[in-house]
Amino acid sequence: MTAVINAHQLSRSFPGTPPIHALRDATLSVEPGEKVAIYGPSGAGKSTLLNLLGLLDGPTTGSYTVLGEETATMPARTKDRLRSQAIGFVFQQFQILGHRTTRENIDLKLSIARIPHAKRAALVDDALEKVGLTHRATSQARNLSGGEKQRLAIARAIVNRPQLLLADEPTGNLDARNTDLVLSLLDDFSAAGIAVVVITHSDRTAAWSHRNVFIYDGVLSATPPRS
Amino acid sequence: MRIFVDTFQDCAIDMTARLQRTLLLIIAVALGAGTFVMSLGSNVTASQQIANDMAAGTLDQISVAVSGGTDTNNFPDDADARALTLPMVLSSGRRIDVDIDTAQPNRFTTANVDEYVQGVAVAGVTTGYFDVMDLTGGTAGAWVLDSTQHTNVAYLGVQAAKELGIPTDTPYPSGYQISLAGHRVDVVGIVQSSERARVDNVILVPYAQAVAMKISDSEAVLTVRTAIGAGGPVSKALRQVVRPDAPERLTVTQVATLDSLRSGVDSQLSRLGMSVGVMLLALTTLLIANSMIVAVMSRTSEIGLRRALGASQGDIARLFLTEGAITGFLGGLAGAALGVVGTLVTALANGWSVTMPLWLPFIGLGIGTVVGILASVYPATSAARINPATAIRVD
Repeated sequence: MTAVINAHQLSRSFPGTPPIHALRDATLSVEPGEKVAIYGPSGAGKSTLLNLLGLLDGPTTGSYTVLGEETATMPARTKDRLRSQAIGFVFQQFQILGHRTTRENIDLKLSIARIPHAKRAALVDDALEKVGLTHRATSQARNLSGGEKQRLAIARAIVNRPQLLLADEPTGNLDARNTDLVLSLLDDFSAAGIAVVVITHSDRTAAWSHRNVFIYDGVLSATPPRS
Repeated sequence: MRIFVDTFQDCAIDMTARLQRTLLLIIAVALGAGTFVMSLGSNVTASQQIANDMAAGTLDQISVAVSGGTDTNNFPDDADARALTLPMVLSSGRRIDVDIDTAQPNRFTTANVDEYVQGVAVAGVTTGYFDVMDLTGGTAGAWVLDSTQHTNVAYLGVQAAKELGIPTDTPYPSGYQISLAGHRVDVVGIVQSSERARVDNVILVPYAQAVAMKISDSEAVLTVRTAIGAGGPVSKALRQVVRPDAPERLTVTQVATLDSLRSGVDSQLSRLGMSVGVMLLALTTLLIANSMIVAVMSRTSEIGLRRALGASQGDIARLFLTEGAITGFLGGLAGAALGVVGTLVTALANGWSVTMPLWLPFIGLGIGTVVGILASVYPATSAARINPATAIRVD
């Protein structure tokens, strides 16, 4: 089975005096349908890794392959296309457009992915149904509850059936009930073959995943560091 | 095509969500474009008006006066005919004004000549004067004005006739007489003023008779009308033709000076109108650009989100450019209407006839759109360059 993502010795440094080494020699491979939790404290480099995996940023050194395509020499347009068609993002702060309706927020992803109008309504309806927000389709997004907002963000991420779902602290702002609901949804997508990578510092979420990867001071490891 | 429809819908949602800001921007563009249209429209109207006025009153009209002194016989008796011998001269005529105290105009029935009618003027004119000044009304038989004999006739302006108790409901009142310098004078016609000469309160008598009252023709003026554009050459030759023996005794009012004045005024009006309009447009552009930069900053997180969802730098730039274009178009539309109305009001307030090219409103529309796009170039470029990795985490 071909890995959805395959990162080899990825490093990311930021200029400064001294330079900041946010990520060092990170190696990670994720298979389709796999649920991987990247677990670590704040400032460990989790978000830097997520940006690299989601093609929002490029590594200083190392190689990274997404869906079999090497990204080192990949043109920006191709990265944009992969983000719009093959990668879904879920953020801790939801990142929804409050002045738009639930449906319009989901449709935005399809619009950016250049999906024809004729196919969009059905895709949006399907996504709304999957996350249980059909009854809130025409509500202003700002009026949704925290749990509903995160479900909306998930619906937007999976509306065009990506192969990789990257979630940055998806349950960080949710209560226990909504956390269970969101993790249940992610389970469904994983079962459907979507590779799910979750960044978290929550033990609950870490326990939910197939595999935990630990990150401390920009270094990935399969086992928790000795404290 | 789909990409533009999507972008348009995208913008429409965002612009209606921020309705106050959108309306303010549209008003700013409308004011800028409207002022531009209005300044152009008013300029064209005013220029045309000035051109019309000067062309009608001056450009085809030349005045010949006596250079100075009190000598008599400055103009030969056939001065009008001599001027007519020049090519492109259409008509010519003389006029000399007589002091009211000398003429002492009065109703003929009034016995006491010391109580002559005030508020009227007396002038001696030749027949050609009627033609030069386009005077109408009861002008038939005006050849008597050229008589060198002592001919006691008078043509009256409407107001002068009223002052003297002469009916004005007919151009040829019959059997009425007035008194001039103690002489009985037959009223032979009521004349109407023209745009070239106001004669409402004037009593017009034969030229020779007026000269006799004045003793000298040193204050007489020969007016010549030419074909349009012939004023310059005619004015150069006129003195020589009228007084070949002593051309220096006459002074010609040069048309060329007034012509250059006209073109100067036109040019200055154009520059003034354009510069005011351009400055306002520049100001509008800066205002919109500033507002859009603020909008970009406040939407940093959204820009990061769009990039995360797969929007390219071009998509982000297009979003803001389209928003600017829509704002500019709507503002230009409102501005075009505003400019047209403003021009009409300005023209009506000044009593001008409106001269507005049909393309002018479209200029306003185009300029509004261009201003909207230009103003959004820098904000759109800035938005496209925002780093998505950091933007997505901005609250």
